[in-house]
Amino acid sequence: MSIASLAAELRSGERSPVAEVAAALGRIAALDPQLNAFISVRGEEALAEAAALEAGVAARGPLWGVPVAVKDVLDVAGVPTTGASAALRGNIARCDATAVARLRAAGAIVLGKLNTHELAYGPLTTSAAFGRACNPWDPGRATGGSSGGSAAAVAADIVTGTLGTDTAGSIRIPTAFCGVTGIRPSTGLVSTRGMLPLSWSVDTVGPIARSAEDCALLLDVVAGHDPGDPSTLPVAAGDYQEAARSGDPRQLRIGVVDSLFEGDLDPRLAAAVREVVAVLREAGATIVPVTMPLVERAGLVQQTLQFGEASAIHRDLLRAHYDELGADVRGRLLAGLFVPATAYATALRVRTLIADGFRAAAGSLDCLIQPTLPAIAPRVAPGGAVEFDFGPGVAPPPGAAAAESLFRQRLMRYTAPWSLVGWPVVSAPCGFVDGMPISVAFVGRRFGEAGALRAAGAFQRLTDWHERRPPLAG
Amino acid sequence: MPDAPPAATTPAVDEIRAVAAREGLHPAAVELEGVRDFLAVFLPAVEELAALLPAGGEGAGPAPLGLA
Repeated sequence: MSIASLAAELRSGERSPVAEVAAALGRIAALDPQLNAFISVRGEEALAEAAALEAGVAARGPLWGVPVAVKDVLDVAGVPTTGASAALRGNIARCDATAVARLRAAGAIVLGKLNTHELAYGPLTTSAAFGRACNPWDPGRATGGSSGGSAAAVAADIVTGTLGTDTAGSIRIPTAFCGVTGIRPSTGLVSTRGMLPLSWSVDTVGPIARSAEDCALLLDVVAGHDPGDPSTLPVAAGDYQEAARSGDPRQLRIGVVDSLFEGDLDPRLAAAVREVVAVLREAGATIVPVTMPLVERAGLVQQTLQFGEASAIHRDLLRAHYDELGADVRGRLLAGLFVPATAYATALRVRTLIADGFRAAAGSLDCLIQPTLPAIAPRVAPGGAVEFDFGPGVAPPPGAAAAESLFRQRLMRYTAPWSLVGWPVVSAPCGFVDGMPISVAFVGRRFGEAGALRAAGAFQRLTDWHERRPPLAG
Repeated sequence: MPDAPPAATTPAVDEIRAVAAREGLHPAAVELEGVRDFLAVFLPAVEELAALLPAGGEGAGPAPLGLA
């Protein structure tokens, strides 16, 4: 059931918040032992909040009584924000993150906190301290990350909507691997106050749900300027749900980023996304090829900024909790100590150059289209080792760290350019490869969420990939 | 006039250990030598970014806050 339908039935009294929360808690009890999507569950508190809603007479907001869950890098008052790190087990939040507060003000009930790659600094969600999240389509594969629990909980139908965060791809990667829809919003659209930061200049908070329309509904609730977060810009938030619901493909002009359909990606995945283009063209959309200048360099620029900023943010953790950090995250934080200030300044200047080039290339297009990722979710061996697949005939580099680094670089080619320039991306399911879901990305211009949502919504009205469920969801 | 310093390259192991000491890191930070392998690829690639920009610092600087 969609969030919009569930919320409507709750508001009208056809369903009860207490019953919905109880049912969701039942699904957590039944499914989470297989998935490990949750780090903490607010069972009694959520039931009490649902009962209070039912007993109250306050106006019923757009999410009145809807159970949700949030990534465990977002503060929920009274609950630890662990970032799936042993180093932060005792980090009890004193108040809600702004995005969480806005969900609650709209009537949503927060069931719990969701698993993540440690400190949101990796693409897998395989924290040693809290255990890896398992992909609902195949628990022997990774969910992706870092918002792995947020994507898995939606894919398994435990909740209809969650919040994740995306710095270099952390909403897009797990939503693609788990077959659900997600939005990385424009940088500065949604407040990051109360979020465990990773890279100030590109961090975002965004929704994950089944459909673009449901993501848009959540975005309508959380978007907008926050006086408590100077990084949010005073831009008018749009009516995103209406955009997702009513986009007419005949009025869409979509650019196809041809270079990202070539090179180091699974050809079956490229073919599936070409089929998305064909579906939209057949429905009347205007499709044009587009070359995004320096798109192949943008990932490196973004990573240069992120390495420096993440190490500055977590320097104290590195000093005081060295042994408690996972080896992969520790390695990245250590590496960030060696990014020279001159390299950081150069990266800032190149970002301006790339942003100017992207703006000129995109012109007045409603959105761009590309594969969200070049590959499907990797398998994880029973002992926890990730079996990276670099395509037919390509041997992984020797050593787990080198293989993971190459894997990250492959993903970053697709996700990091848009993070660098702060553009929004809607990732939506568009097929299967080897039984695992794959996704298409609709990239909007800066603060052009509506254009990307119109295209994603139109695609989802023409197809049913976003409605497919893993057998585990029942 | 002193010679121009060499372009930034991979830090030597001694430099890495010096940074570890400065940061007060755990002695196990000798694993930084694994980090060095990463930096050996990453830092030269970052250096190449400068070639994309006008020489001598001409042209636009970093975007003002929030406008990138």
